[in-house]
Amino acid sequence: MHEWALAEAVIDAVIDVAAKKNASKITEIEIVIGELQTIDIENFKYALDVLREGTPAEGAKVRFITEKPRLRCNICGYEWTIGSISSLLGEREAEAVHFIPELIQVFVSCPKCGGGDIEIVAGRGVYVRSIRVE
Amino acid sequence: MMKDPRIYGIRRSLSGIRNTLCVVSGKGGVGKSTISTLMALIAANMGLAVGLLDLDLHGPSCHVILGVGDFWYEEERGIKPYMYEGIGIVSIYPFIGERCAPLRGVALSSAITELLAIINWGRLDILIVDMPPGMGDPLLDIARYVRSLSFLVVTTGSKVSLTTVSRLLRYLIDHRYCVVGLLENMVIGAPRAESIAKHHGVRYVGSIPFDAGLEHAIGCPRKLLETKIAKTLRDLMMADPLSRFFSKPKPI
Repeated sequence: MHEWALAEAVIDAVIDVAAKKNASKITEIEIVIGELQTIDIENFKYALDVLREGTPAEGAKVRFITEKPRLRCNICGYEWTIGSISSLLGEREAEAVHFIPELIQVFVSCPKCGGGDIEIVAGRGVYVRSIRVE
Repeated sequence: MMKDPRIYGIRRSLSGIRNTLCVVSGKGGVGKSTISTLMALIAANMGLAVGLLDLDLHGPSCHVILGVGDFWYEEERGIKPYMYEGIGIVSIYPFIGERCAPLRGVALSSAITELLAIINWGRLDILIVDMPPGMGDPLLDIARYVRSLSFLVVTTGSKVSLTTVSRLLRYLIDHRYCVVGLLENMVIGAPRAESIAKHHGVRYVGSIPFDAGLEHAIGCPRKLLETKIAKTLRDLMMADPLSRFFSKPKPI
């Protein structure tokens, strides 16, 4: 599953940061989940829990912050928030955006001017906002 | 914000690959995709575990050359390359179909980073990367993320191509990238690129004559392997300096 690959990358990243800070233990991890990526949060959490067993991240408190996807039209400057990806896109298009969130720019136009030069402002995907170590 | 975790995903994704050969050119239309795809096909026929990454997000074409048709990826700790004719293929094509991908630099770079991070290549003898033309984000990204990367530079004998390829060679050499050599494609008459290779101190891999029969073989792997271009390319792949990429690993 794709969520597993994302979780592996997150755990590798936090362990590396902790090692560079000479920390033996990670106490808190703050993970932002941009909803454009439509990850299966339960699968992602499960993968995180399995992957951090026996690592400095085992036992860390993991905080998840969800972020609504927000897009901007580079032609007219209009910004808008996307609610449900599944109601906006077909199944295959939604899968494409799940794997590579930037591909939303392939499938949507500006609702105001119809322009096809879109960028993602917020809510793109998974990233680690901060970690605490000791 | 912390370092992008996808960079760790990329390291993991590429960890089972023996060699990565990146087919580049400053110019479009010199036959990078044809060379990349044929090399992958020939390598697969040699019994090598080969991956083909089409990194041209604006104009993917390796799947057209091979005649893959519609395809999708299986998921297993990321996405698994689609196996076709013994080649593990990854392209943006299944995601976008026949649409354009209007991505600006930052979005393009992020899309490439994501793609590289989520592919589960497994073990490969060689990964061949078909690059888009130019020296923009895809080139800079692949060079940033793939540590043991070698560049095969492709040109035609046209002054227009040679001028731009010369710039690319200078950039790659000045910045200490590994350049396997310069390959001259679509040669009509006498080859012209050897002096450019010599000028930059890189190997002249060889020349491939223009093959009018190629177009009729597009979309059919069996016919592709029978083209003059494939036969010439196979000989070049067996010779120095390309042969080290296409030799089978010695049993331990």
